[in-house]
Amino acid sequence: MRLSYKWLKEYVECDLSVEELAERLTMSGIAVEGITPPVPGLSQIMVGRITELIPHPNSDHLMICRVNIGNETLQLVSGAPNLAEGINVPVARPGVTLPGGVTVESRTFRGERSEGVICSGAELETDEWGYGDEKGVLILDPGLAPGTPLDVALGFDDPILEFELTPNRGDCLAAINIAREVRALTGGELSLPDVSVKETEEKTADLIKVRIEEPDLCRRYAARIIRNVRIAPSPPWLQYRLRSAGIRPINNIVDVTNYVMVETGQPLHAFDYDKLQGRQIIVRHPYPGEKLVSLDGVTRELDQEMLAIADAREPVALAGVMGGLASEVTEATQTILLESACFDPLNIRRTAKQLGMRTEAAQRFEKGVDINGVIRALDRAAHLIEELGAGIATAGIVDEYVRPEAPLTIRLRTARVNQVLGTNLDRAAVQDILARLDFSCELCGPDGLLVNIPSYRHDIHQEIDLIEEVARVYGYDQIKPTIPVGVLAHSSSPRRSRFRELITEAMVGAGLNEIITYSFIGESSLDKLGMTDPSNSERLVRIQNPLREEQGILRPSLLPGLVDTISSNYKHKQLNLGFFELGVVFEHNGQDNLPLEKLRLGMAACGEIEREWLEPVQERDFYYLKGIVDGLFELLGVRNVSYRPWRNTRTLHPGRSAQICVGSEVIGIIGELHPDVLERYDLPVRVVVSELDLEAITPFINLCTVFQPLPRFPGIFRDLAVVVPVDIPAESIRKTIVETGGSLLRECRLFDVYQGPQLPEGHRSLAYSLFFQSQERTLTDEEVTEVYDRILKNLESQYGARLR
Amino acid sequence: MEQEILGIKESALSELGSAQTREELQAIRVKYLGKKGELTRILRGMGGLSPELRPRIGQLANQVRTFIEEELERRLLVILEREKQQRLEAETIDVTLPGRTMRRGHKHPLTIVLEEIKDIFTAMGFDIAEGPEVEWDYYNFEALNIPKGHPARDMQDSFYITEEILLRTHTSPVQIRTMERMVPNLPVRIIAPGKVYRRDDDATHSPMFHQVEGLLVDRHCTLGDLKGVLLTFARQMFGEDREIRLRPSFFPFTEPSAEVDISCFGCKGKGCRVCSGTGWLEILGAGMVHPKVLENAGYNPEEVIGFAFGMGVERIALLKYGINDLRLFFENDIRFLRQF
Repeated sequence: MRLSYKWLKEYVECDLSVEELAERLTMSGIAVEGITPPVPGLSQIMVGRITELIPHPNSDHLMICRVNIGNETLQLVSGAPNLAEGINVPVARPGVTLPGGVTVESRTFRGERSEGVICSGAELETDEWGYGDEKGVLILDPGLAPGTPLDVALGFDDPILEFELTPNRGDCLAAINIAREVRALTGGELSLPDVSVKETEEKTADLIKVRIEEPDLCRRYAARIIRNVRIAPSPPWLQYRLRSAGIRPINNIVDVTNYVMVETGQPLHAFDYDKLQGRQIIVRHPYPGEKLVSLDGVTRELDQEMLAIADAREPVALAGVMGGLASEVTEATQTILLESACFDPLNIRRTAKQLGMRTEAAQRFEKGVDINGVIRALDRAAHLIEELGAGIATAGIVDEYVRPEAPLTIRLRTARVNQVLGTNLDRAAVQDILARLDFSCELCGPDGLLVNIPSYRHDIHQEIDLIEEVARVYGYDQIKPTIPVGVLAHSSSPRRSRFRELITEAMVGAGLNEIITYSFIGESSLDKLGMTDPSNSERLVRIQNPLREEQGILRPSLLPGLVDTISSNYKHKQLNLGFFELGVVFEHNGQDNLPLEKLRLGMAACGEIEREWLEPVQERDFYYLKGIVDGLFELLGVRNVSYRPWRNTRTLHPGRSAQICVGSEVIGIIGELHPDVLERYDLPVRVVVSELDLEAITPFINLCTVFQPLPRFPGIFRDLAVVVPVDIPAESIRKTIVETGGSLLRECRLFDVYQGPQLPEGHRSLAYSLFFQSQERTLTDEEVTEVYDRILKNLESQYGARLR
Repeated sequence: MEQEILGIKESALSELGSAQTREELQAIRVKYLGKKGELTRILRGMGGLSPELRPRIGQLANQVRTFIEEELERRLLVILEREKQQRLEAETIDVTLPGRTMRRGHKHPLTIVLEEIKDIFTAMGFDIAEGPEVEWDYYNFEALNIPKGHPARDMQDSFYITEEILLRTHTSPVQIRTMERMVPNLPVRIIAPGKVYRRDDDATHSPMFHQVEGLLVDRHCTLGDLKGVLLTFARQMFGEDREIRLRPSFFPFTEPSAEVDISCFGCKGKGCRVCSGTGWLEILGAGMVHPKVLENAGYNPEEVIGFAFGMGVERIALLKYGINDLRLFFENDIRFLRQF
């Protein structure tokens, strides 16, 4: 909604500066987003009177003009054909920048100096506003005093307020209702527009019959007939007003309907009465197959949910959205039918959205118009048309208003106002605020008020709505900040949130960087990762209306986001990368249930660990990431974790990937990306990834630490290096060692893995550092040797191991 | 004899004075005090002295012996000290070379801001609540006083999974879920952080972003309390000299409703580029919980009253770090992430 300050002041007294008014309105909930002049820069241009016109001695079309600009007379050279002595024209002196962006300079034309320019409406961009002359310079009102700034001379010293209204305040799409807000804030006197109409003898009711077939969608339909219509351009003041509201002037009749719409919030439509068949208006749903060519020339297919305005034969307008081309008001129009109606907001909204026609009218109907203002708007339009000499109204109004709306009264308790706001207002103060908003009140009980709600305030339904009215007019800034008093809630923060922070700390501590990727991905990402599989496809959660195909499904895994991130960073020549993401993945759970959301932790890394001069080169390989995963399990107290080689995958390298298990439950995966996947991502480097299902891990998390007494007796170290076939997993060897070692074996650490020429083909050596210690006594060499020998024997018998 | 002893003392002293190493000291010890040393030789030859002379010479020789031993000891300390100094000198390293790094990763800036928000509110007695990212239309709209066809649904064009299931467009459904879980108990004091989704993608809108919802429901609670809590938050988050301003606004699920601005920390309210010259920065929406919402969740709005607020985490992170492009948060460029 745009409204010029002068226009607004026509309905309410207000002597605040426009900036101050805007600030007060904004702070009362009627947000002013901007204040702009209708045309910038006009205050620099002034009115000049041509006192003398001399033909240029060296040109047959240029004229030398002596121009009085108040306190001095300038010599200006111009070639405009409409110059004359005694006329007033706009003058821009050197240094002034014209609205189009050109800066005026002092120039010499064929030997004659010109100290500025005489401007045309086009140069000033006022022609669109009704101030211009195609023939040449803009000729101004002869009554203006030379030297007057042009914005003042044209009445353009009139800032335009741009309102950003909240959806509940559709009533403020009317200048009068904004004026009411101003009155509530400043107390300025309200003056309502003149709606007196002179009517002919002819009876409107004899000229038109109105029938509403859908009273739920059209609760009121009123019409006037205007005879002797003379179509012409509107006078400049009217064109200016419409322009300032962002509406293009068309002709006097259409302009009046738009003017009244901006003024009262009631959209009107003018039909060419002679084009209507059968002197009838029928408000009905379209019949199957009916079409309408709308004012913009587009043929619209009408569906049967829409609401049409039809004559005896066919639809002539889409109710509340746009008129039809066939009944358009044209130069030839002699009689018009003016429509003022009240349509159902939801129906209008749906139609406007469906056809992509959010017209000014539709925007107002969507928010609901004042059913009691329908007649007033019609009369106001008739009044203005008569004032412009554009026609004369016939006698009476045809008004179909089947079920008149009952006035709404709401009880408001002063105590409740104070209870919600934390204020200490008395009843009189509350009543005063409401009265300023045109809400009349009666006293009710010791502290209550019965408040009558004006019919244009569709946003007021119950007591709390009135409390808000009181609050915003009283001023939110008047309310003192306090700290809530009360019992503290017993904490029940979900474990999920605590674990999340713990895990984030652990990942960052391990050197990985956190990423956040979109929850939606494309199915093609799953293809690229080799993760598609017909059995999975039905478990995907699909978005009905994605922005683009690459965002069509909700991620079933964090890997697509992680690998995309590795890939995009690698393209920026960032070669050493380590990322993690903590987020939910989604799984279809039947049409009538919400999808399952599972919290997961994903990791991905490639390249080397960034190193300084002292540090050895360390690859971000499988064992790097495995170390991070193991560190996390240790932090969370998750025990009995094992890694099962995993070959059944097209995503991961079959020889370098594993399922991660706790006991027998698979809780995640880890591995290098399959070379085919790397190729599809165009990554020339190995990438290692892991994904853990945190929901599955949660039952195994144990953050309770139980203290173990410090050892009191010394222990003994022994190294054990055994040669075993390479296909025996190290974990098996370790298990045998630990199980055989029993309670005396406190530590078993693998410190070397060797495979090479000194060893038999297909064998490797695994070297362990074993630490034996007892809680009860100092161990003897013999005791340790006995356990050591038993370990070795078991390794020999189980795996064919031999001591190296 | 006496002269000889004193001469030994003199020469020992002078040799000690020029000795530079422990080896030289040892040689001096042997030369004078050793079995064949000069002083030893004199002491051995004392048998040939007269009984009157013997005690005097003996005493003198012993004095000189003690003297030399003490001097040797003293000298040794000097030499040891010097050797230590030399060793330390030789061990000097270039302290300007880089150290072994504890190479931590970086939290995402949104996580950092989110943790800060959580800390501030949990210290004020708010719990953390969560809810699903894919929601029923009922929780996302209906229960929040946004019926089908309500114009407010336009403000947040949504991603739908089915007719009735959508990606939540705000964290407000957690309000309803929490109240349903808590009813009839009081108080409810929660914040609910999480991802939300709207069908918008341009320089200032991301189809996925983060919000933190806050809700307090109790027997007594006022718009003034809401103001107090938000003022505390603003000052802890953005600095003690911040002010806040509430502008009346509209949300279907709160009434009265407000947009909340903080005084710009760039210009201290004078107006600058960050705040587009207004001196204020819009950071969140808030209001008193609408009676219908309380009712939908099972509370009697005549008996309980509440306030709610919701803020965009990206918006706060943009302001806090002076980041100029929303998309950076989700591009995950390592050169961006490493800055936090």
